[in-house]
Amino acid sequence: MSEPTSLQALAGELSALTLYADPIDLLNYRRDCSMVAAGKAELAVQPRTAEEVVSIIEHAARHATSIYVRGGGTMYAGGVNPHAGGLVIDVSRMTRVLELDLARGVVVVEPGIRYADLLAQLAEHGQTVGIVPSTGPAATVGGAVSSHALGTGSPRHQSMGDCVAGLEVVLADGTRLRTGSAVCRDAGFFQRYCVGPDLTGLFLGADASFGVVTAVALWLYPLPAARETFCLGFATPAAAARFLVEVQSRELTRNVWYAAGYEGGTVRARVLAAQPGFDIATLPGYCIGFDLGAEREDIERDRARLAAVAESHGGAEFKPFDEIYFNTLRLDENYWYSFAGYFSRSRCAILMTSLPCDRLADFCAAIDSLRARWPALVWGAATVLCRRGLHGGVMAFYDERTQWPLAEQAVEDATVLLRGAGCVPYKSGKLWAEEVKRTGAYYRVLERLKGALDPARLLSPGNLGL
Amino acid sequence: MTKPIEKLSEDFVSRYERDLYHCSSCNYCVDAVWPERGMHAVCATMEHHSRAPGYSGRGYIEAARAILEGQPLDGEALAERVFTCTGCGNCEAACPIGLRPAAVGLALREELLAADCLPPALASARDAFIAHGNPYGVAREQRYAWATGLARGGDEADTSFFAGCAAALASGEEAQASLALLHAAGLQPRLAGEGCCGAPLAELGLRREGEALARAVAAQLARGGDVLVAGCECGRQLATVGVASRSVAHWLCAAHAAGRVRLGWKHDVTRPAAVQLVESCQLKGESRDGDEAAVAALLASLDVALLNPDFPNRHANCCGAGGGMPAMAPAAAARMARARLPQAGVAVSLDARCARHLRACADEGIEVLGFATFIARYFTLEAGPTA
Repeated sequence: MSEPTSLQALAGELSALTLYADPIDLLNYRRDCSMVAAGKAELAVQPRTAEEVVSIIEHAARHATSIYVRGGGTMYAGGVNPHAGGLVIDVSRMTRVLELDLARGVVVVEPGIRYADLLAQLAEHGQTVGIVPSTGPAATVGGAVSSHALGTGSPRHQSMGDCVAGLEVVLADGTRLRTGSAVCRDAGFFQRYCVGPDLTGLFLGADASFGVVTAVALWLYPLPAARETFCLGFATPAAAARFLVEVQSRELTRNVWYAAGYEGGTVRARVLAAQPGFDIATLPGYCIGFDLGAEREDIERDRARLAAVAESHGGAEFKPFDEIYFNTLRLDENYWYSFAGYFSRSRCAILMTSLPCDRLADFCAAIDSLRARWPALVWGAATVLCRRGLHGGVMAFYDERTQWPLAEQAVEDATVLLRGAGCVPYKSGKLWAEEVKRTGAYYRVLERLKGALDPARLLSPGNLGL
Repeated sequence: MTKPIEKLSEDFVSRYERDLYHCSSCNYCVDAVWPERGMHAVCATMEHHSRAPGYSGRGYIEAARAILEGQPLDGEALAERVFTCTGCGNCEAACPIGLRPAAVGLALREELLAADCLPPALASARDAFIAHGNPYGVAREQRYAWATGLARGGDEADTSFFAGCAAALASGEEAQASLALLHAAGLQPRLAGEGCCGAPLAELGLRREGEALARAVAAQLARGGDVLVAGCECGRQLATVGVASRSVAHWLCAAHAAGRVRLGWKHDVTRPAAVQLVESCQLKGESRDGDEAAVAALLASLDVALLNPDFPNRHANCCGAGGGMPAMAPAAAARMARARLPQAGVAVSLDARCARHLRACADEGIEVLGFATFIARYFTLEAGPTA
């Protein structure tokens, strides 16, 4: 925690900005959407420009005050929780579109812009961005790039970073850095890999550990002319995994804007809730929903191809799940938390993991094992298809008043189980930092980079624990 | 810290513990932008009064939870935040798991009242209410001044009309217009209620006192008959004591659709080119959700052009009439009102309280009318073929 006198002095120096020092307001900065223990913000500021961010960082550095950065606060990893106290830079008021260059296919935005706002502006030009996170209508672009968001667009691209043309970042010493082609100011943002190694990547998924993102350049993509959802059912996760391997190796995901996989138990629960008399013998053991977007004839062609590949692995279209759930989820623009809430209407601990498609059955087995080992919690799981591999979301629903310690232990257990199943668990809160430390040389290099860019350790340690 | 709030009542905990501990802090209730649902900003107070997160739905949940877990909070600072909530309910509509942050805020008002932390601007409003039995400082004996000379039903009438304070006392015009519409349709309702329904007290955090007044009104209604109200908040308040009512607007729409009344443009008035309908937060949810949609359909059938064809937007921001905003932050309340009004022309609200506030804040060239006043001014009404 900061010295009261230095905090007061800092507050005085920043008084021309929108500043919050009342404990009631600061309560809202103590945690994100994760189950990670809350921190305690001592001061919060809402800058409106990059220049103000530079000024804030310079003042905070003079007082050796810890800095955390927050966008919409919708992430589920605890990276913004201010465990060391200090100052929270809340970028939610930095919401401008700085440049929209349709010829170059790039939009440059401030970090606090909400996705829904940005998408509405781009839709007027028939455009959209590559990845739209599943974390909801309060999610910001800055938060998404700082946390490796995924969601809509993942089957076409991968993760958030694959759709970023460049960044503007303010470093701990106040340096204002532009990456990608924008290192040449007259050139601006249009390509990412121009000058030697890719510094953009250093700030992606880094929770502001290395710098504060003040502008994000995203590539634009045409909005699809038509959209359509459908679901494929498989007897087992193993059969679904073989299908996914072939789909990815044949690049059949170019027009798939979103695809999610659901365990048999989830499918059964939803179908029976809507149609209690449904013949359970016909329910699949694993179901994958597809949201296709393209010209109508391309959708028909890709849908037929996907169905044919599914058939070769014993799968077939399963319309009830699309009608009951998946179509509404996608076309009514609901979000993942809505999905999670619909499932259990309670607080949800989310652990994300990357996994190759061929490990899908192991992933599902790990979830079954968690159900048996932690029966007091309600478990759910879903996978999001990426251009390569999958992202798996593991959800533990719990009562925070009585079950927080239990849920925390269970998520730690899940992390270990998933690692043993060949997955790469991340965003599991404090354990993620421990996981990164186990990487050895990789972690030591990150540490050295942190030391070089932020020697006083002013900026948030983030999920990496740096 | 003056007047620290160190604990919450057992009643509060028993009613809202689940909301405090199942909130995932997803921030939908703070800052959701959800165009598909017509939600462009969740909270009018945060848009026009303060961006401090303590003013949000999540802010109320965080504050209550902090107190419950042993962190005392300053009563006056908390009161400034929870009493400026307009009660529009958008934060609850945004919550993905059905939690009730607005209700938590309302319950915190009760806790703050118990700790003598009513903001000064509202304390004077409360005192005026207690002195006069209504929020507008009108003498009790003037409650039915608006109805002087108008016919009214006796004890035998099976329909009751409860005008409510905003329609009856703030100007009287809306109450008169409502009654005139009922008369034109051949109804002669009993004028019910010797006093306020208690909605303003409930909004101040005096829930039980408000319910007592609602029960007093309920006792004066015709037994088993139709209960019509001019004020939307009155209908909501009466529902808390088990009285089912409907707005005059709802009655008119239903009667018109069933052919019991006929409406036609008056020939001696200049028709407005278009009208902006302003949603009332009091008509969100519950059984009244269809009232405004019915009005939109009625006006469309009468060839009234709307300036806001997306009406009713269930996530529209409050006009500033709600909660403690008008008394505590009148400038912000006026900004909220102007954000809901057209650049020029006629605006119509189904809620007499909203209409009063909008009228007070409207720029020159904008006329704000209650729904019944609008109908009575521009349309003739007579009993229809199926009356």
